[in-house]
Amino acid sequence: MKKAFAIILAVAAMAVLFSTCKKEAEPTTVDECISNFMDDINSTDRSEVYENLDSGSAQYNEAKATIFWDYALFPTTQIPYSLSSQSESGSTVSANLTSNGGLYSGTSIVFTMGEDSDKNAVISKITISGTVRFQ
Amino acid sequence: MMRRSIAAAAVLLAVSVSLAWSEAKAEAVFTEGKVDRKNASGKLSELEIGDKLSFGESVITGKASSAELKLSSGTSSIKIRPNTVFTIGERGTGPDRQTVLQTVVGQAAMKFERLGTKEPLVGTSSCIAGVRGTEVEILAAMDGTSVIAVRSGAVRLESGGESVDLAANEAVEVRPGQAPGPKFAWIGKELDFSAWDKGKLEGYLADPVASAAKVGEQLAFYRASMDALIPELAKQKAAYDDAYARLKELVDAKKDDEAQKLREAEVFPLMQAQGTLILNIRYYALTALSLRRYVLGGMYVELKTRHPKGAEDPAFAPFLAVYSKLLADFETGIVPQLVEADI
Repeated sequence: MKKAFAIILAVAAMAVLFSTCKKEAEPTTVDECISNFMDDINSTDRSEVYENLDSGSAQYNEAKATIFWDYALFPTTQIPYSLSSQSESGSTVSANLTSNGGLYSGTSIVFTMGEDSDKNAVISKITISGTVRFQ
Repeated sequence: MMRRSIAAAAVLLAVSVSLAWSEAKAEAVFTEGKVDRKNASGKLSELEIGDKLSFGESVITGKASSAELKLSSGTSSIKIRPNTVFTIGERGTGPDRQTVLQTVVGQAAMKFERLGTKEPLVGTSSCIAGVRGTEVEILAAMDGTSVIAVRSGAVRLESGGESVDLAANEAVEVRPGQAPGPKFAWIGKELDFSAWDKGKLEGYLADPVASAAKVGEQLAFYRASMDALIPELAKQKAAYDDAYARLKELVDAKKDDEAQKLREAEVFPLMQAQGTLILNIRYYALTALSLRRYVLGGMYVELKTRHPKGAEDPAFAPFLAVYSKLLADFETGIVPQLVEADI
Protein backbone atom coordinates (compact mmCIF):
# COMPACT_ATOMS: atom_id res chain seq x y z
CA MET A 1 0.00 0.00 0.00
CA LYS A 2 2.78 2.34 1.00
CA LYS A 3 4.63 1.47 -2.21
CA ALA A 4 1.58 2.24 -4.37
CA PHE A 5 1.10 5.55 -2.58
CA ALA A 6 4.74 6.42 -3.17
CA ILE A 7 4.41 5.64 -6.87
CA ILE A 8 1.25 7.77 -7.20
CA LEU A 9 2.99 10.59 -5.40
CA ALA A 10 6.03 10.34 -7.67
CA VAL A 11 3.86 10.32 -10.81
CA ALA A 12 1.92 13.34 -9.56
CA ALA A 13 5.14 15.16 -8.79
CA MET A 14 6.48 14.40 -12.27
CA ALA A 15 3.23 15.63 -13.83
CA VAL A 16 3.43 18.91 -11.91
CA LEU A 17 7.09 19.28 -12.81
CA PHE A 18 6.50 18.72 -16.53
CA SER A 19 3.49 21.02 -16.68
CA THR A 20 5.48 23.76 -14.93
CA CYS A 21 8.44 23.32 -17.25
CA LYS A 22 6.19 23.45 -20.27
CA LYS A 23 4.60 26.66 -19.04
CA GLU A 24 7.99 28.26 -18.41
CA ALA A 25 9.20 27.27 -21.87
CA GLU A 26 6.34 29.19 -23.51
CA PRO A 27 7.48 32.61 -24.67
CA THR A 28 5.83 35.60 -23.02
CA THR A 29 2.98 36.87 -25.18
CA VAL A 30 2.29 40.52 -25.91
CA ASP A 31 -0.68 40.52 -23.52
CA GLU A 32 1.37 38.88 -20.78
CA CYS A 33 4.19 41.35 -21.28
CA ILE A 34 1.87 44.36 -20.98
CA SER A 35 0.17 42.78 -17.99
CA ASN A 36 3.53 42.10 -16.30
CA PHE A 37 4.63 45.66 -17.03
CA MET A 38 1.46 47.09 -15.49
CA ASP A 39 1.91 44.85 -12.44
CA ASP A 40 5.47 46.16 -12.07
CA ILE A 41 4.54 49.83 -12.33
CA ASN A 42 1.71 49.23 -9.87
CA SER A 43 4.28 48.05 -7.36
CA THR A 44 6.22 50.55 -5.26
CA ASP A 45 9.31 48.43 -5.97
CA ARG A 46 10.16 49.33 -9.58
CA SER A 47 13.35 47.26 -9.72
CA GLU A 48 11.83 44.73 -12.15
CA VAL A 49 10.21 47.14 -14.61
CA TYR A 50 13.19 46.99 -16.95
CA GLU A 51 12.81 43.22 -17.34
CA ASN A 52 9.78 43.87 -19.55
CA LEU A 53 11.80 46.07 -21.90
CA ASP A 54 13.72 45.37 -25.08
CA SER A 55 17.38 45.18 -24.09
CA GLY A 56 18.15 46.67 -27.51
CA SER A 57 16.31 49.87 -26.67
CA ALA A 58 18.54 52.93 -26.65
CA GLN A 59 17.60 53.86 -23.10
CA TYR A 60 17.54 50.34 -21.68
CA ASN A 61 20.61 50.64 -19.47
CA GLU A 62 19.68 54.04 -18.14
CA ALA A 63 16.09 53.00 -17.54
CA LYS A 64 17.15 50.25 -15.16
CA ALA A 65 17.07 52.98 -12.50
CA THR A 66 13.77 52.92 -10.62
CA ILE A 67 13.88 56.72 -10.23
CA PHE A 68 13.41 57.05 -13.99
CA TRP A 69 10.01 55.39 -13.83
CA ASP A 70 8.99 57.27 -10.72
CA TYR A 71 9.98 60.74 -11.95
CA ALA A 72 9.58 60.56 -15.70
CA LEU A 73 6.63 58.29 -16.33
CA PHE A 74 4.78 56.61 -13.50
CA PRO A 75 5.04 58.29 -10.08
CA THR A 76 4.34 55.83 -7.27
CA THR A 77 1.93 58.40 -5.81
CA GLN A 78 -0.37 57.68 -8.74
CA ILE A 79 -0.72 53.93 -8.15
CA PRO A 80 -2.85 52.18 -9.29
CA TYR A 81 -2.48 52.68 -13.01
CA SER A 82 -4.93 50.99 -15.34
CA LEU A 83 -5.38 50.49 -19.05
CA SER A 84 -8.67 50.54 -20.90
CA SER A 85 -9.71 50.07 -24.53
CA GLN A 86 -6.55 48.03 -25.11
CA SER A 87 -6.08 46.95 -28.72
CA GLU A 88 -3.26 45.33 -30.66
CA SER A 89 -2.35 46.19 -34.22
CA GLY A 90 0.81 44.87 -35.84
CA SER A 91 3.66 45.54 -33.46
CA THR A 92 1.83 48.13 -31.37
CA VAL A 93 -0.56 47.98 -28.46
CA SER A 94 -2.71 51.06 -27.94
CA ALA A 95 -4.72 51.83 -24.82
CA ASN A 96 -5.97 54.59 -22.59
CA LEU A 97 -4.04 55.10 -19.38
CA THR A 98 -5.61 56.25 -16.15
CA SER A 99 -3.96 56.80 -12.79
CA ASN A 100 -5.36 57.18 -9.32
CA GLY A 101 -4.42 60.82 -8.80
CA GLY A 102 -5.52 62.18 -12.18
CA LEU A 103 -2.07 62.55 -13.70
CA TYR A 104 -3.35 60.35 -16.48
CA SER A 105 -7.02 60.35 -17.31
CA GLY A 106 -7.77 58.19 -20.30
CA THR A 107 -4.47 59.40 -21.77
CA SER A 108 -3.36 57.72 -24.97
CA ILE A 109 -0.50 55.25 -24.47
CA VAL A 110 1.10 53.20 -27.23
CA PHE A 111 3.50 50.32 -26.58
CA THR A 112 5.68 49.35 -29.52
CA MET A 113 6.55 45.71 -29.05
CA GLY A 114 9.58 43.67 -29.98
CA GLU A 115 10.89 40.18 -29.31
CA ASP A 116 13.95 39.05 -27.41
CA SER A 117 16.17 36.19 -28.54
CA ASP A 118 13.88 33.68 -26.77
CA LYS A 119 10.84 35.01 -28.66
CA ASN A 120 9.45 36.67 -25.52
CA ALA A 121 7.45 39.82 -26.20
CA VAL A 122 9.21 42.90 -24.86
CA ILE A 123 8.44 46.62 -24.92
CA SER A 124 10.65 48.58 -27.32
CA LYS A 125 9.02 51.97 -27.10
CA ILE A 126 6.44 53.78 -24.97
CA THR A 127 4.59 56.75 -26.43
CA ILE A 128 2.33 58.77 -24.16
CA SER A 129 -0.01 61.40 -25.55
CA GLY A 130 1.91 61.37 -28.82
CA THR A 131 5.35 61.87 -27.28
CA VAL A 132 7.95 59.11 -27.15
CA ARG A 133 8.87 58.69 -23.49
CA PHE A 134 10.99 55.56 -23.63
CA GLN A 135 12.81 53.87 -26.50
CA MET B 1 30.98 78.15 -41.66
CA MET B 2 32.73 74.80 -41.32
CA ARG B 3 33.95 75.73 -37.86
CA ARG B 4 30.47 76.78 -36.83
CA SER B 5 29.10 73.49 -38.11
CA ILE B 6 31.66 71.51 -36.16
CA ALA B 7 30.88 73.43 -33.01
CA ALA B 8 27.21 72.80 -33.49
CA ALA B 9 27.85 69.09 -33.85
CA ALA B 10 29.82 68.97 -30.68
CA VAL B 11 27.81 70.94 -28.17
CA LEU B 12 27.31 68.11 -25.77
CA LEU B 13 23.83 67.33 -24.53
CA ALA B 14 22.40 70.31 -26.35
CA VAL B 15 22.64 69.19 -29.90
CA SER B 16 19.62 67.79 -31.67
CA VAL B 17 20.26 64.51 -33.36
CA SER B 18 17.78 63.10 -35.77
CA LEU B 19 15.69 60.16 -34.70
CA ALA B 20 17.02 58.16 -37.62
CA TRP B 21 20.55 58.21 -36.25
CA SER B 22 19.49 57.70 -32.66
CA GLU B 23 17.75 54.49 -33.57
CA ALA B 24 20.71 53.18 -35.55
CA LYS B 25 22.21 49.86 -34.61
CA ALA B 26 25.26 48.12 -35.92
CA GLU B 27 25.80 44.85 -37.71
CA ALA B 28 28.89 42.68 -37.49
CA VAL B 29 30.26 42.30 -41.02
CA PHE B 30 33.60 40.73 -40.15
CA THR B 31 35.11 38.88 -37.23
CA GLU B 32 38.44 37.16 -36.79
CA GLY B 33 39.60 35.16 -33.79
CA LYS B 34 37.83 35.33 -30.46
CA VAL B 35 35.27 38.11 -30.46
CA ASP B 36 32.53 38.35 -27.84
CA ARG B 37 29.47 40.51 -27.52
CA LYS B 38 28.15 41.54 -24.15
CA ASN B 39 24.54 42.63 -24.15
CA ALA B 40 22.95 45.25 -21.92
CA SER B 41 21.98 42.56 -19.44
CA GLY B 42 25.62 41.47 -19.11
CA LYS B 43 25.16 38.21 -21.05
CA LEU B 44 28.30 37.22 -22.94
CA SER B 45 28.14 35.37 -26.27
CA GLU B 46 30.28 34.90 -29.34
CA LEU B 47 29.89 37.65 -31.95
CA GLU B 48 29.11 36.24 -35.34
CA ILE B 49 28.96 37.85 -38.76
CA GLY B 50 25.45 39.15 -39.37
CA ASP B 51 24.73 39.72 -35.67
CA LYS B 52 22.84 42.94 -35.02
CA LEU B 53 24.15 45.00 -32.12
CA SER B 54 21.96 47.20 -30.04
CA PHE B 55 22.52 50.13 -27.74
CA GLY B 56 24.17 49.15 -24.47
CA GLU B 57 26.06 46.29 -26.08
CA SER B 58 29.82 45.87 -26.10
CA VAL B 59 32.17 44.10 -28.46
CA ILE B 60 35.20 42.54 -26.78
CA THR B 61 38.09 41.36 -28.91
CA GLY B 62 40.83 39.10 -27.63
CA LYS B 63 44.47 38.84 -28.57
CA ALA B 64 44.93 38.58 -32.36
CA SER B 65 41.20 39.13 -32.85
CA SER B 66 39.29 41.87 -34.59
CA ALA B 67 35.83 42.78 -35.78
CA GLU B 68 34.20 45.20 -38.16
CA LEU B 69 30.79 46.75 -37.64
CA LYS B 70 28.63 48.54 -40.14
CA LEU B 71 26.20 51.06 -38.76
CA SER B 72 22.73 50.38 -40.07
CA SER B 73 22.02 54.09 -40.58
CA GLY B 74 24.36 54.31 -43.55
CA THR B 75 27.72 53.19 -44.80
CA SER B 76 29.65 54.23 -41.68
CA SER B 77 31.93 51.53 -40.37
CA ILE B 78 33.95 50.71 -37.27
CA LYS B 79 37.01 48.48 -37.20
CA ILE B 80 37.70 47.10 -33.76
CA ARG B 81 41.30 46.03 -33.24
CA PRO B 82 42.66 43.29 -30.89
CA ASN B 83 42.33 43.50 -27.10
CA THR B 84 39.59 46.10 -27.25
CA VAL B 85 36.38 46.76 -25.37
CA PHE B 86 34.05 48.81 -27.57
CA THR B 87 30.61 49.96 -26.45
CA ILE B 88 27.61 51.39 -28.27
CA GLY B 89 25.88 53.71 -25.84
CA GLU B 90 23.61 56.66 -25.74
CA ARG B 91 22.84 59.55 -23.47
CA GLY B 92 20.06 62.04 -23.16
CA THR B 93 16.52 61.61 -24.31
CA GLY B 94 14.09 63.24 -26.72
CA PRO B 95 15.83 65.92 -28.79
CA ASP B 96 18.96 65.65 -26.61
CA ARG B 97 19.60 62.01 -27.44
CA GLN B 98 23.07 61.24 -28.71
CA THR B 99 24.75 58.00 -29.61
CA VAL B 100 28.13 57.52 -27.94
CA LEU B 101 30.58 55.08 -29.52
CA GLN B 102 33.10 54.41 -26.80
CA THR B 103 36.45 52.66 -27.09
CA VAL B 104 36.88 51.83 -23.40
CA VAL B 105 40.26 50.14 -23.85
CA GLY B 106 42.12 49.15 -27.01
CA GLN B 107 41.87 50.60 -30.49
CA ALA B 108 39.15 51.28 -33.03
CA ALA B 109 39.07 53.00 -36.39
CA MET B 110 35.82 54.67 -37.37
CA LYS B 111 34.71 56.07 -40.67
CA PHE B 112 31.57 58.19 -40.75
CA GLU B 113 29.96 59.27 -43.94
CA ARG B 114 28.80 62.86 -43.95
CA LEU B 115 25.26 62.54 -42.63
CA GLY B 116 24.23 66.13 -41.93
CA THR B 117 23.37 66.35 -38.25
CA LYS B 118 23.33 62.60 -37.69
CA GLU B 119 26.89 62.01 -36.53
CA PRO B 120 27.34 60.41 -33.13
CA LEU B 121 29.74 61.21 -30.35
CA VAL B 122 32.87 59.11 -30.10
CA GLY B 123 35.18 58.74 -27.17
CA THR B 124 36.98 56.73 -24.55
CA SER B 125 36.55 56.54 -20.79
CA SER B 126 38.46 59.83 -20.48
CA CYS B 127 37.22 62.00 -23.35
CA ILE B 128 34.38 62.56 -25.73
CA ALA B 129 34.29 64.07 -29.19
CA GLY B 130 31.77 65.29 -31.72
CA VAL B 131 32.58 64.26 -35.28
CA ARG B 132 31.61 65.50 -38.71
CA GLY B 133 32.18 63.46 -41.88
CA THR B 134 35.13 61.97 -40.13
CA GLU B 135 37.57 59.12 -40.39
CA VAL B 136 39.08 58.82 -36.96
CA GLU B 137 41.34 56.41 -35.08
CA ILE B 138 40.88 56.05 -31.35
CA LEU B 139 43.39 54.47 -29.00
CA ALA B 140 42.70 53.85 -25.33
CA ALA B 141 45.57 52.58 -23.20
CA MET B 142 45.35 50.45 -20.08
CA ASP B 143 46.08 53.50 -17.91
CA GLY B 144 43.11 55.46 -19.32
CA THR B 145 45.20 57.64 -21.64
CA SER B 146 43.68 58.16 -25.10
CA VAL B 147 44.79 59.30 -28.52
CA ILE B 148 42.28 60.68 -31.00
CA ALA B 149 43.74 60.87 -34.50
CA VAL B 150 41.78 62.34 -37.40
CA ARG B 151 42.35 61.00 -40.91
CA SER B 152 39.72 63.18 -42.58
CA GLY B 153 36.89 65.48 -41.60
CA ALA B 154 36.85 67.30 -38.30
CA VAL B 155 36.53 66.54 -34.62
CA ARG B 156 35.86 68.63 -31.55
CA LEU B 157 37.17 66.84 -28.51
CA GLU B 158 36.33 67.62 -24.91
CA SER B 159 38.06 66.51 -21.73
CA GLY B 160 38.85 67.97 -18.36
CA GLY B 161 36.42 70.83 -19.06
CA GLU B 162 38.35 72.05 -22.13
CA SER B 163 37.93 71.40 -25.82
CA VAL B 164 40.13 71.26 -28.88
CA ASP B 165 39.31 71.19 -32.60
CA LEU B 166 41.15 68.67 -34.74
CA ALA B 167 41.35 68.72 -38.52
CA ALA B 168 42.60 66.04 -40.93
CA ASN B 169 46.01 64.59 -40.03
CA GLU B 170 45.93 66.04 -36.54
CA ALA B 171 45.93 64.06 -33.33
CA VAL B 172 45.92 64.70 -29.64
CA GLU B 173 46.69 62.70 -26.52
CA VAL B 174 44.38 62.96 -23.55
CA ARG B 175 45.22 61.79 -20.05
CA PRO B 176 42.35 60.89 -17.74
CA GLY B 177 40.99 63.87 -15.88
CA GLN B 178 43.21 66.30 -17.83
CA ALA B 179 42.60 68.84 -20.56
CA PRO B 180 43.65 67.69 -24.06
CA GLY B 181 47.40 67.76 -24.65
CA PRO B 182 49.02 69.71 -27.49
CA LYS B 183 47.94 68.78 -31.00
CA PHE B 184 50.48 66.94 -33.10
CA ALA B 185 50.68 66.20 -36.80
CA TRP B 186 49.73 62.72 -37.86
CA ILE B 187 50.50 62.01 -41.45
CA GLY B 188 47.94 59.27 -41.78
CA LYS B 189 50.14 56.23 -41.39
CA GLU B 190 49.03 53.35 -39.18
CA LEU B 191 49.43 54.14 -35.52
CA ASP B 192 51.42 51.51 -33.68
CA PHE B 193 49.04 50.88 -30.84
CA SER B 194 50.95 47.99 -29.29
CA ALA B 195 54.14 50.05 -28.94
CA TRP B 196 52.20 53.01 -27.61
CA ASP B 197 50.21 50.87 -25.17
CA LYS B 198 53.40 49.13 -24.04
CA GLY B 199 54.90 52.54 -23.36
CA LYS B 200 51.85 53.49 -21.31
CA LEU B 201 52.11 50.23 -19.38
CA GLU B 202 55.76 50.91 -18.64
CA GLY B 203 54.91 54.45 -17.59
CA TYR B 204 52.19 53.13 -15.34
CA LEU B 205 54.47 50.53 -13.75
CA ALA B 206 57.10 53.21 -13.13
CA ASP B 207 54.63 55.31 -11.15
CA PRO B 208 51.37 53.46 -10.52
CA VAL B 209 50.27 55.89 -7.82
CA ALA B 210 50.37 58.86 -10.22
CA SER B 211 48.50 56.91 -12.91
CA ALA B 212 45.82 55.82 -10.46
CA ALA B 213 45.50 59.40 -9.22
CA LYS B 214 44.82 60.58 -12.80
CA VAL B 215 42.06 58.01 -13.14
CA GLY B 216 40.79 59.35 -9.83
CA GLU B 217 40.59 62.82 -11.38
CA GLN B 218 38.54 61.46 -14.25
CA LEU B 219 36.21 59.67 -11.83
CA ALA B 220 35.92 62.92 -9.89
CA PHE B 221 34.94 64.69 -13.12
CA TYR B 222 32.13 62.19 -13.74
CA ARG B 223 31.01 62.56 -10.15
CA ALA B 224 31.04 66.37 -10.43
CA SER B 225 29.08 66.17 -13.70
CA MET B 226 26.50 63.99 -11.97
CA ASP B 227 26.38 66.14 -8.86
CA ALA B 228 25.80 69.24 -10.99
CA LEU B 229 22.65 67.69 -12.43
CA ILE B 230 21.16 66.58 -9.13
CA PRO B 231 20.10 70.10 -7.94
CA GLU B 232 18.63 70.69 -11.40
CA LEU B 233 16.62 67.49 -10.99
CA ALA B 234 15.38 68.70 -7.60
CA LYS B 235 14.36 71.99 -9.23
CA GLN B 236 12.47 70.20 -11.99
CA LYS B 237 10.82 67.95 -9.42
CA ALA B 238 9.62 70.98 -7.46
CA ALA B 239 8.23 72.51 -10.67
CA TYR B 240 6.49 69.23 -11.46
CA ASP B 241 5.01 69.00 -7.94
CA ASP B 242 3.66 72.52 -8.33
CA ALA B 243 2.17 71.81 -11.75
CA TYR B 244 0.69 68.54 -10.56
CA ALA B 245 -0.93 70.26 -7.54
CA ARG B 246 -2.66 72.63 -9.95
CA LEU B 247 -3.64 69.72 -12.17
CA LYS B 248 -5.14 67.89 -9.19
CA GLU B 249 -7.30 70.91 -8.37
CA LEU B 250 -8.61 70.98 -11.93
CA VAL B 251 -9.23 67.22 -11.90
CA ASP B 252 -11.09 67.43 -8.59
CA ALA B 253 -13.16 70.32 -9.93
CA LYS B 254 -13.88 68.17 -13.00
CA LYS B 255 -12.53 70.87 -15.32
CA ASP B 256 -11.42 68.25 -17.81
CA ASP B 257 -10.49 70.49 -20.73
CA GLU B 258 -8.35 72.79 -18.60
CA ALA B 259 -6.76 69.77 -16.92
CA GLN B 260 -5.85 68.28 -20.27
CA LYS B 261 -4.30 71.56 -21.43
CA LEU B 262 -2.20 71.72 -18.27
CA ARG B 263 -1.05 68.13 -18.72
CA GLU B 264 0.10 68.78 -22.27
CA ALA B 265 1.59 72.22 -21.68
CA GLU B 266 3.35 71.74 -18.35
CA VAL B 267 3.02 68.45 -16.52
CA PHE B 268 4.15 66.03 -19.24
CA PRO B 269 7.03 68.26 -20.46
CA LEU B 270 8.27 68.60 -16.87
CA MET B 271 8.19 64.82 -16.44
CA GLN B 272 10.11 64.43 -19.68
CA ALA B 273 12.70 66.98 -18.56
CA GLN B 274 13.18 65.00 -15.36
CA GLY B 275 13.62 61.85 -17.43
CA THR B 276 16.32 63.54 -19.52
CA LEU B 277 18.22 64.60 -16.41
CA ILE B 278 17.97 61.14 -14.87
CA LEU B 279 19.23 59.47 -18.05
CA ASN B 280 22.16 61.92 -18.21
CA ILE B 281 23.02 61.27 -14.56
CA ARG B 282 22.92 57.57 -15.35
CA TYR B 283 25.13 58.07 -18.39
CA TYR B 284 27.88 59.58 -16.22
CA ALA B 285 27.45 56.85 -13.60
CA LEU B 286 27.69 54.07 -16.19
CA THR B 287 30.72 55.67 -17.86
CA ALA B 288 32.40 55.92 -14.47
CA LEU B 289 31.59 52.25 -13.93
CA SER B 290 33.36 51.37 -17.20
CA LEU B 291 36.40 53.39 -16.13
CA ARG B 292 36.47 51.73 -12.74
CA ARG B 293 35.95 48.25 -14.20
CA TYR B 294 38.21 48.26 -17.26
CA VAL B 295 40.89 50.84 -16.49
CA LEU B 296 41.26 51.00 -12.71
CA GLY B 297 40.52 47.28 -12.43
CA GLY B 298 43.09 46.58 -15.16
CA MET B 299 45.69 48.64 -13.31
CA TYR B 300 45.10 46.65 -10.14
CA VAL B 301 45.47 43.32 -11.93
CA GLU B 302 48.63 44.40 -13.76
CA LEU B 303 50.33 45.44 -10.54
CA LYS B 304 48.98 42.67 -8.32
CA THR B 305 50.31 39.98 -10.66
CA ARG B 306 53.76 41.56 -10.30
CA HIS B 307 53.46 41.91 -6.53
CA PRO B 308 51.50 38.89 -5.30
CA LYS B 309 52.22 39.67 -1.63
CA GLY B 310 49.81 42.56 -1.94
CA ALA B 311 49.71 45.08 0.90
CA GLU B 312 52.83 43.58 2.47
CA ASP B 313 54.85 44.53 -0.59
CA PRO B 314 56.20 48.09 -0.29
CA ALA B 315 56.05 48.41 -4.08
CA PHE B 316 52.33 47.64 -4.03
CA ALA B 317 51.12 49.23 -0.79
CA PRO B 318 51.13 52.91 -1.94
CA PHE B 319 49.11 52.01 -5.03
CA LEU B 320 46.75 49.94 -2.93
CA ALA B 321 46.15 52.91 -0.63
CA VAL B 322 45.19 55.16 -3.58
CA TYR B 323 43.18 52.38 -5.21
CA SER B 324 41.26 51.72 -1.99
CA LYS B 325 40.53 55.42 -1.58
CA LEU B 326 39.21 55.60 -5.17
CA LEU B 327 37.00 52.59 -4.58
CA ALA B 328 35.65 54.19 -1.41
CA ASP B 329 34.94 57.43 -3.31
CA PHE B 330 33.31 55.43 -6.09
CA GLU B 331 31.14 53.68 -3.52
CA THR B 332 29.87 56.91 -2.01
CA GLY B 333 29.75 59.11 -5.13
CA ILE B 334 28.85 56.87 -8.06
CA VAL B 335 27.27 53.70 -6.70
CA PRO B 336 24.11 55.48 -5.45
CA GLN B 337 23.29 56.17 -9.11
CA LEU B 338 23.88 52.56 -10.12
CA VAL B 339 21.49 49.67 -9.71
CA GLU B 340 22.12 46.01 -9.07
CA ALA B 341 21.40 45.21 -12.71
CA ASP B 342 24.33 47.42 -13.81
CA ILE B 343 26.79 45.23 -11.95
